[in-house]
Amino acid sequence: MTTSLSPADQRMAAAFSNFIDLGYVLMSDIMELTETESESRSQSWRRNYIRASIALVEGFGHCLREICAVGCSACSTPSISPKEHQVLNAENDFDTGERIKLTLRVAYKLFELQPAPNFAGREWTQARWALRRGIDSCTRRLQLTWIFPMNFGSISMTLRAG
Amino acid sequence: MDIPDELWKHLYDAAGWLIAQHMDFLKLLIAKVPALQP
Repeated sequence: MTTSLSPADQRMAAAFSNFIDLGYVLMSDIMELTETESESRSQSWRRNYIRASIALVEGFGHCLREICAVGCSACSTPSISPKEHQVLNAENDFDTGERIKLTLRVAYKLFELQPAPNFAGREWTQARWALRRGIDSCTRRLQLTWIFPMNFGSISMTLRAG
Repeated sequence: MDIPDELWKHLYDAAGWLIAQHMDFLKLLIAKVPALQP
């Protein structure tokens, strides 16, 4: 039996496929590091853990924005704010922390999930501080530019001397 | 470019919280969308 999907459904299926594939790869990196957590006093382990964590959060966020962009174009979601719409179409207009917060908010609204993350708590304040500090600590000498191809089966990364 | 113990504790906790927010979303989404369930 063959099922023909509408163009919007095809885009959503592709976005979900990217989300699952990339999530698997990035979570594998974290899991592998976690298995050697006894080495966490090593500086290289710490830097790798921070890099892998940031890659996971940013990678997940990028895929979520694709999913949400398709979802928002296919149905009306009046509770989404102008800023939340903007992050779907121009993610580079926002810093990492703002991107993470706005993307998760849109995703929870779009799929009508509860409870949404608490961005009013101490954990979020610390996370925002750590994002600035961690990114600065781990990428001071190399500016990382992520290139997300359509197929997330392989992730390419360009390193540019800072 | 070393990450001293005190800074490391904050970075590690923050990374854990951020990852947990995304994993929570994934769990809720999978629970809601049958097509995503294994």
